[in-house]
Amino acid sequence: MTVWKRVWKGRAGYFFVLPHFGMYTLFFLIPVGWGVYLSLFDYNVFSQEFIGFGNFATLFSDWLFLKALGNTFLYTFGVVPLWLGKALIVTVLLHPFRNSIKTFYKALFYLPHVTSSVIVSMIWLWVFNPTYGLLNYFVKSVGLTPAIWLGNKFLAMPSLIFMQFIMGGGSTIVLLSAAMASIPDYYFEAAKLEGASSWKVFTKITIPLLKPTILYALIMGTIANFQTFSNIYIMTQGGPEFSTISIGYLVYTTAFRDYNLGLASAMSMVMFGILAVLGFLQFKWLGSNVEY
Amino acid sequence: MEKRKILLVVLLLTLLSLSAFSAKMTITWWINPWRIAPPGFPSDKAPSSEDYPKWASEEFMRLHPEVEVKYVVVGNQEYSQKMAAAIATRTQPDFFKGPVWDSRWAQNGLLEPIDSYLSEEDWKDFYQVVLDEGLIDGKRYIWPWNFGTNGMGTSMLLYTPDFDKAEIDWRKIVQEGWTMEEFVEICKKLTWDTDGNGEIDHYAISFGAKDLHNIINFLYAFGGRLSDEGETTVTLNTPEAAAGLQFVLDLVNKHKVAPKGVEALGVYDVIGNFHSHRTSIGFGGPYEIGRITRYILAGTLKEMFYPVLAPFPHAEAKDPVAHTSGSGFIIFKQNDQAKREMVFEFVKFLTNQQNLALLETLQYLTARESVNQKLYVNDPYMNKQVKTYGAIMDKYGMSFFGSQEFPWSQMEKFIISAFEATFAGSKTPQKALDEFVTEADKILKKAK
Repeated sequence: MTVWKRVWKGRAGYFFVLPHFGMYTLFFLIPVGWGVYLSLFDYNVFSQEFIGFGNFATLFSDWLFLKALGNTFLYTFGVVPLWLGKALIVTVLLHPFRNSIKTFYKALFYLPHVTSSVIVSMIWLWVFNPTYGLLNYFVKSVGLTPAIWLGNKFLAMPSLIFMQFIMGGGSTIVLLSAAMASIPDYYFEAAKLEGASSWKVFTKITIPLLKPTILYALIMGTIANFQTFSNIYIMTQGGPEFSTISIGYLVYTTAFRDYNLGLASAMSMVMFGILAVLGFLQFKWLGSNVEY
Repeated sequence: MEKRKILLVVLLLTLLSLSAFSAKMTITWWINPWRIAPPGFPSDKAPSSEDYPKWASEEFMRLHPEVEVKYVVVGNQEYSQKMAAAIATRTQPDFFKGPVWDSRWAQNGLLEPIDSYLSEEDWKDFYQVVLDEGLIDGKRYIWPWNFGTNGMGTSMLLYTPDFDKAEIDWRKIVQEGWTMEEFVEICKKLTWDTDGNGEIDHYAISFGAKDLHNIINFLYAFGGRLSDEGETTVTLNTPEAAAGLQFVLDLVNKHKVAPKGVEALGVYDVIGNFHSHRTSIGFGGPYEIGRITRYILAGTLKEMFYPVLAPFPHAEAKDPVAHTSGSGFIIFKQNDQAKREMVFEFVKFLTNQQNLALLETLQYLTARESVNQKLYVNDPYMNKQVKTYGAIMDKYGMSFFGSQEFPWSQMEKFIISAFEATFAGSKTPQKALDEFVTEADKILKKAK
């Protein structure tokens, strides 16, 4: 059967996916393609000159871009494992409770997810305020020396990671809880009858059976955190001394402060390439399903 | 058949001409949030950012029924983003007033020069410094509206009850100014432990590394300058500039009259400290006094207070310095002559003496000298502050950030980083400024 005949045969299905595909093309594929195109130009809104891979050459010789790249990796690999760890622990701890209690705690952890990231960042700005902030109030009350959390180049990034760790992971908890509920109880009962310890149950049953969901959360978390922008924009503007500058923030300032849209597009392409490679590696290493 | 065709053509032509007559000329303008109270606005309410552009658009349409005016209030944060997108998609407004613009727009022929539209009276009445704000390659591109901005880097605000409590003659400071040495001694008197627990909780002043205007004032006061006269090289690492930065650092670390953590703070933290009376000296001009009133009306501040304006301190045998600038309306290139005339008509309407005086409600000085002379005649307190502000700008005013062709916006992140490094103690003022100049020079050379 030719391709056209197969398409014709499944025309009803194609008809139904057409609106979505049309929107996807219009609002995603074309802008992405346009971004690839722009990355080959010295484009500053009002003038455009083809420079081939010139923007990419500029990027990889620019210390600020390399610093932003390093920071973005640091932030992503700082936040994602903490998120996942927190989500796993909370999910396992909540699992034995009855549904109403589980729902209450899941809603509690999910709450920051439905709050504007701008509002969350502004609240944490006050928490981290060096002179009048809540965190230093507690630090002082236990007799320790207060720190300038967002002003110290060694503390600023860990502070942002800490904030994201506390506020994030709600959606992962919801996902993992749903996945955990689908694991048949007799696996756990059988393991207990065989005398398996809680740790063994966790590592040999819970984790392997949650692996597809963990993989999903890992990939989505990596993508989301690699593109981090709003908290940096509100809280540090990439400082102090560029210690928290991320690729997302640099793309924004390059495009809309310096009006260098070609260079900003090239940065986005590099970010896209890195995320594609990371996603591929994560699938390769963690993609195998487990069945008992 | 032929008759029918002719009739149809005649009918179509009639309809077309009728629609042409009835079609209104549309003018679109963008403005960032300016909470100006239009005429007749209730005095017990805080105006929103929509009130002024709505009133101005409706009033102009009333005067010119053939014109339809559409205004868009664009937030400061997203302004450059939206403008870049608008220019890229050729959907820019006919004219705009915003926190950003780029001299390259003029150099690439996107803007209308205003010179030929200014009347003889305009040339005389508008302050020269505001007229020169938009001077690029001998032509002007900004139609003047306001003189001075919020006053950051221009003047200081003194909370007089604290000065009285510390037995400091603030009137003398307002009238005669203060040297850096006097400033330090006064700051020491204004720093104390309010609750008696042995810890300083009230400071004379506060700084933020991201609050550039106010820190740069000290660098300029000691003799530092951003660039040479011809703007060919960045020079903000001279010993004078480094001495200015060292002075601010000493206020925090040596004299302990400003709270630590400057590297983590921005301008709103500094404003917040002053509003909550954690500090006695704030920054800004009449606009910042207006901010107090607006915060009271909006309910974000509880108690009204009336600070007085004073010049920044000056180095021995040197004058104080004050950052001075102005801004106004920028007109995008118009292909239709009739529309160009109407756009300029609208801009002239917005900046005529009567309408320009509405800036008074926002405690801004206007770009017209004649209007400023009549402001606040019924408010002795504000009248005095505005006069002090005008005198400071007039005597000591200069632009800290170079001409419109100077790529300051691209350098800004590097000076912030230099200040952060200085206040965090990771670099000396000299080293931090040297590194800033290295990066800034690269940007300048690329721009040239």
